[in-house]
Amino acid sequence: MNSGQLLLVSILLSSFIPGIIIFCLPEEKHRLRTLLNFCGSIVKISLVLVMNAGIYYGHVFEIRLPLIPGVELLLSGDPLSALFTTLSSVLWLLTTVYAVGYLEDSPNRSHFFGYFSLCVTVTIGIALAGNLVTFLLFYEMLTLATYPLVIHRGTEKSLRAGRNYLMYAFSGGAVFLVAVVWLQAIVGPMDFSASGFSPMYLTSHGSVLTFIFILLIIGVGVKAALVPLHGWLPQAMVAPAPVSALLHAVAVVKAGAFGIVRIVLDVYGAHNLLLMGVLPLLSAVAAFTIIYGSVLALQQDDLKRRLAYSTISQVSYIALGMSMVDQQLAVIGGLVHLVHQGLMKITLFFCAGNLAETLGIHRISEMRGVARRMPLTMAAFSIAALGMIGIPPTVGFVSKWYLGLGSLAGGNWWLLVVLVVSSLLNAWYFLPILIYAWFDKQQGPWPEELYVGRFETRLMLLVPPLVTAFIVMAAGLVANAQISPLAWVRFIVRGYTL
Amino acid sequence: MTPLISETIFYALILSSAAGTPLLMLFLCCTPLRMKVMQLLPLATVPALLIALTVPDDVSVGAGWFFMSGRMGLDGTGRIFLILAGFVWLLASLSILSLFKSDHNRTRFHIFFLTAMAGNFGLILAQGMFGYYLFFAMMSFASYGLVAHEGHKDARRAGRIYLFLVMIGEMALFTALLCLVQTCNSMALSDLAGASYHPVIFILLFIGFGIKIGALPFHGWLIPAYQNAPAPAATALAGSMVNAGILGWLRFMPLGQISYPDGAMLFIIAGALAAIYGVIAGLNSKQPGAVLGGSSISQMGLITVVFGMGLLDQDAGIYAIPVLILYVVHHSLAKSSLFFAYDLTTREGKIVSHFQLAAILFTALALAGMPFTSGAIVKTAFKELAIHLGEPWYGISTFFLPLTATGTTILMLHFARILKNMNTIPKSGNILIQLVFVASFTAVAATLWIWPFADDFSSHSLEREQIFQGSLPVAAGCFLFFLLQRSVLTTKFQTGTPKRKNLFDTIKCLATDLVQKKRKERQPQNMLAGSIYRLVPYLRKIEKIMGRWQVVGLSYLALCFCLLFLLL
Repeated sequence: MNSGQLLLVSILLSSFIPGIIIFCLPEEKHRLRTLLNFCGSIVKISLVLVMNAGIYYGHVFEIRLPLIPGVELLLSGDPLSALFTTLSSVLWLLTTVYAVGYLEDSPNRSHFFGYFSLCVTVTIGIALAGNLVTFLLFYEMLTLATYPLVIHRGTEKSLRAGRNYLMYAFSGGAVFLVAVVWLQAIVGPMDFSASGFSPMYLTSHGSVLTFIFILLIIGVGVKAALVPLHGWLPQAMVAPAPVSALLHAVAVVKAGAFGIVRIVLDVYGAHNLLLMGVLPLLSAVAAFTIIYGSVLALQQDDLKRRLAYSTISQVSYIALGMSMVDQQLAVIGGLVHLVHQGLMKITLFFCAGNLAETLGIHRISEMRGVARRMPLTMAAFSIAALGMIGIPPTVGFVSKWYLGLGSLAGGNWWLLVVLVVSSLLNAWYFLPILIYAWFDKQQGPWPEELYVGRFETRLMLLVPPLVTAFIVMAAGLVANAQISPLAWVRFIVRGYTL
Repeated sequence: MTPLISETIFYALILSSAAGTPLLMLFLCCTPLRMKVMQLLPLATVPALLIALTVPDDVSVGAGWFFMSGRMGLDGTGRIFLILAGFVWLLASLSILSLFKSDHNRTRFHIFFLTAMAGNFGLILAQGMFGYYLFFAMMSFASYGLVAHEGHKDARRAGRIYLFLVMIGEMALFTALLCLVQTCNSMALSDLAGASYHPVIFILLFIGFGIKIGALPFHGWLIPAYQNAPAPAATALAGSMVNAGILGWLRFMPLGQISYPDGAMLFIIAGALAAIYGVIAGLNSKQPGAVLGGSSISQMGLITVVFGMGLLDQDAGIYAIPVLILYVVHHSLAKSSLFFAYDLTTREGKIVSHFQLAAILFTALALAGMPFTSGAIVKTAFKELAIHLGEPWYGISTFFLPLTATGTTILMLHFARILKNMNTIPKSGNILIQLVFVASFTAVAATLWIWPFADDFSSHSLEREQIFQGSLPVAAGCFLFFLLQRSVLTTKFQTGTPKRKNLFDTIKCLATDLVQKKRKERQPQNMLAGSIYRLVPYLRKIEKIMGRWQVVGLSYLALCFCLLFLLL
């Protein structure tokens, strides 16, 4: 095993081993547990940065494991996997800090953090997957790893939400399996490659390949919450805030979106898809999801549900960008939104969790005047909300800009209209929250004031959203610099001929 | 003039301090140092003024890494706008100093005030499209905090209308920016010269920046905002932030370098309608802020007409630029002075001296173009532009200008009368606002006379013919005012500002129908709201059905059967 392979395995093990150890720890050993979590995530981030540097200078990282003839497990590091891996690792560190603060004095923390670590391991596996079979394997394991997190509270509502989640995820997974097997039967075993499979298959199996594409998109679309496969997401909001943050920013939804990216760019390839003419369908589904999610978000009074529908809407920006795969600018917009949306959404969920944990606030109508009590939390929330609407200089503007430029370049005027309408709808459901918090007077006592101390809430709950909100602003202000997510996305796109 | 690209850190730091100082003070307002910082508020405007007075032309500093690549610098037009903005914001900050002593939300107001200030200074210095858009957005969104500050129902409504139109404007500008960058392949404003624009871009730019200046039909936010914002904030809005729209037009549609005759008609007609509508809207209210708002709509309408005339062809554009700049300077100084007069009168309880009343009347009638005022200079400039363009513009202006002057006179006399009739309890600590008023009045009276830039027009305005042509409308306006006063104004307009049911309220009802769950009793406002209202319960039902796992399971089974069928 050479050093590159060792690196890949270590990245996976850096969260797997702490996870296994935490399972075996007794409930009271919370210091040891926290230590393991932090060590694991810091080790992981360092290794990931080393891997990124290596990828930038052209090193090859690859591990192959033949399972059965024709099917092999492949983990490889390419620029696209580096993007998702870095995002996951950094956000995992912040979510760990947050979760430790959030679940103080909660029961079953060993189980929670154990599954938490497993979840991140599996997400990194999805990021590093080098072919569809490996991707599928880790994708299904993600469902298994996140189910216990969804039902953590153990209430009737959680169990129902968990059951729902499993139904959706396994159905999607089965469809995905059929599609993967079918595809392999036609084009043979294939690694992810920048040009997709050979175009000669299109002449013989054109319509079948189109149908397989649809099945693949359905398979990943469940996790990516494309309408009408999104039904599990709003109900899963019953989980604790760190889980929602993880589900919506880091692991599940992003894994689905990442799947769409891989299928479009690395499995089918831009040229094949253009020949097949199936992209307008993806555009239409993405556009419909964007508008549908936003309209339904308007109707929610529960804060986390509104954020859930907002996620459904925003993740489809990535699908929208991928559907314009012949426009390099649109692909840049979609890919960079992977990172940006993760940052903004996680901030919003952290803040929602803060409000719930400190003041017992779950509904937007209870949020009047809350900024006076929790100014830093609401400041972070405001920055992320403005980013969602697409106001400069937040990162949200940067992704919308590239998507808009891509739509114009491709002559898709109506997609630009969808973007503009979506921004207006986002403003419609985010700005009133900000106005309630900053400009209204508090109406009666808070539902449940659970924390009164020196700072507005526990430090471990306060610092993560401030960090991510800062990144949302900073990454936007230096978007054009060498070290921004945008720069890395440009590096990724250079590897494809679009 | 070719800009000298000197990218030294020195100039970068200097130029950044214009917007950077307010931002730094804003940051300090969030720390325990806030009391000290709020007392030092006027200092935030000093760097901008110093830059405007000392930094040479042709300084241009770029930073490829900033936002989406930014460039800032000062040119002739920018310098004038910056001096003007710095002056108005300085006076407005001074007038805040003794206000808000017992206001719980003082810090919040200062934070929004400083952000709007930073945005205003930043956009004047911006030489790239993104920089302008960034600071314009910063200024626009921060102004919400100023409009809705007082927290009562009318202020909140004014804030909502404002925010709604700001979002529309932002989206229009976003789309326009996309089209522009695609057409010109560059993000620098200087590269827009000579480009040929698609008509859609003109309309989008008209909407985007027109909302800021209250162009018809997007004027709905202006009067409620000026009425409900605290006086210093309204001054900043009316005296400086509104100019960001004009500057936006100037930067994105460089007069003298592009021409678009069809688009010009849009500007001219919209401007003319606004000039007339503004007067009527202002007369419809007894609140001084609202009256001044109407006057702003009207004056900005005239400025829009000038801009439109400049778009007719490149030669007209070159001629129109000085007229535009003079009008902007004159209007800002006069309007802010009138707002300071309103603030002073409110704080002192009434007009305390004849000098004060005379100053107010002088400034007010300057807006109408009374001879020997800056208004006369500007009107002369307008007439000379019309002469330069020839028929039919000259003919129309001989009729149109006196009409608007008469209307403005009536409106301004209405304003002066409201102030004269004011009689409330005076507040203490008014020295600063008195000084501010004197300073602003001096600026109005003197600036255009001593400024070399206006030399041509000022000497022409002293010709006997011009004096005669200028006095007629003012005299007619005075006469009509006293006539109207006896009959209509006292009876019909007693009730104050009526709550107008405008387009915004319809859309708001639509949205509320969509948002609130228990809406069974409410009658839909119109056909569109009714149909969407009927649709909403269906959407909710569908959502609920999709959430049940049985549905998922059944659809999955169905899919399986399909697949099986296909395979066989």
